[in-house]
Amino acid sequence: MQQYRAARFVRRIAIALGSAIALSTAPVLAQSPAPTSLSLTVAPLVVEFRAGAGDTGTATVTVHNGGSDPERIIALRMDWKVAGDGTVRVEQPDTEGKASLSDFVRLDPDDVVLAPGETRELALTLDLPAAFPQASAVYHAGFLVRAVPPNGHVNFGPAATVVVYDTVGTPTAHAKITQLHVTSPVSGSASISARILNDGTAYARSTGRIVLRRDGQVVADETESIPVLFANESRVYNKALTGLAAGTYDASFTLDYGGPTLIQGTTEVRVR
Amino acid sequence: MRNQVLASLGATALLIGMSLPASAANTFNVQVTAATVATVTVTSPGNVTCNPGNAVTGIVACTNTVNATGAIRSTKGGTASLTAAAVAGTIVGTAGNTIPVAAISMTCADGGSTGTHGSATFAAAAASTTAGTSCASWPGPNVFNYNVNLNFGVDSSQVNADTYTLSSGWTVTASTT
Repeated sequence: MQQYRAARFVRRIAIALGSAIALSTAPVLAQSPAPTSLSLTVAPLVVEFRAGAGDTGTATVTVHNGGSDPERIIALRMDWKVAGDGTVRVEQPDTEGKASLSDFVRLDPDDVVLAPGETRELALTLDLPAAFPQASAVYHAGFLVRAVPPNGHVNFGPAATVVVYDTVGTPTAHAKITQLHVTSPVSGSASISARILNDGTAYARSTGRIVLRRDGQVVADETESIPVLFANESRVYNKALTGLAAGTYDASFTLDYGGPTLIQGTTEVRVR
Repeated sequence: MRNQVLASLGATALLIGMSLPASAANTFNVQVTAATVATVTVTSPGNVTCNPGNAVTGIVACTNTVNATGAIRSTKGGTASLTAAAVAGTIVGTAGNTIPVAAISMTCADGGSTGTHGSATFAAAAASTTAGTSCASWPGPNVFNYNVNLNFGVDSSQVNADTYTLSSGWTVTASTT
């Protein structure tokens, strides 16, 4: 079954790309195609459901051709994960195993041609079977929405991901800092490295705040968002601060994981 | 009996803990709803071709630069990224030599991005993949107006002399989670 799904996914990709896979495995003849420009707008990029076994959820995804030529818009079901740098990695459906919703989501239509300036609404449906797990957890899947020319090929084209979450029951949100290191690899700088573990059952969309104090005075105070962490995932958050005077600093890293409390770690660093 | 539910579209539910330690938590809920949206315009002046020539070490620049412009509005606490993905794991040269797509490196240069976002990170000689290689990423919050130039190179130490074209099907993808 997995092999069939994989083959079907590859076949759909090939269709979507105008047999690009076949082209890419054959010698490419020298050619100088005309410049191309395709423009695609997709909204929303994040869809969150709270649906349980036997439920059906609906949402609307809007696509728009902002270019000057017709475009074929193709939506492919996908699984996904977040790399350490925050990048969304597109995966074949069902890659994420029990956490995957990819068998239960659809976008209709998933293949349309838009005239320049045209906007179209696509119906996103989540249809969970009665046998779907009832344990409190967050499941996910999504779509890769691409724009290609209606006829012919383009070497580089635009795309956007629509990520879909479904929260079942009342999963517990919790995360913790398991390691915190602050070093001064070069003079005038401090490098913060914090390992964060999502030890809850919900996903964590966190922010991290770094504060450096010297002699009780705040000399740096920065807050950044941290890419989403699913249950039992961990990630190292790195941040470099520069322009610091030599001396000893108190460093604190505060994690706001979206739960009722903030998690804080503190340490000391000597900046060269 | 089936239930119908509507999705929360790009909404962000933030629970902000105002105090430490946990035992003294004083919390309140803030529901922020803002549509997440991305516009991606990709302009390619023609084929991107890579020819290592006689070089046997180092990165040799490929011809042409791909430009990506647009905007991403992320979730309130989310990050946004632009990735470039190859369509296949191998590239075949005009003389029939085959190279792994990882031999193609990508460097993304900021062409004047703006917006209310954190520090941007741009790719520097990052190996290409089919799953997506980060070209640029920004921590929220939360609007990123980007203008990024994608320059490619070929790692001459990994390939035979030939001309390799980044042919049809590469994507430049905007994402937020």
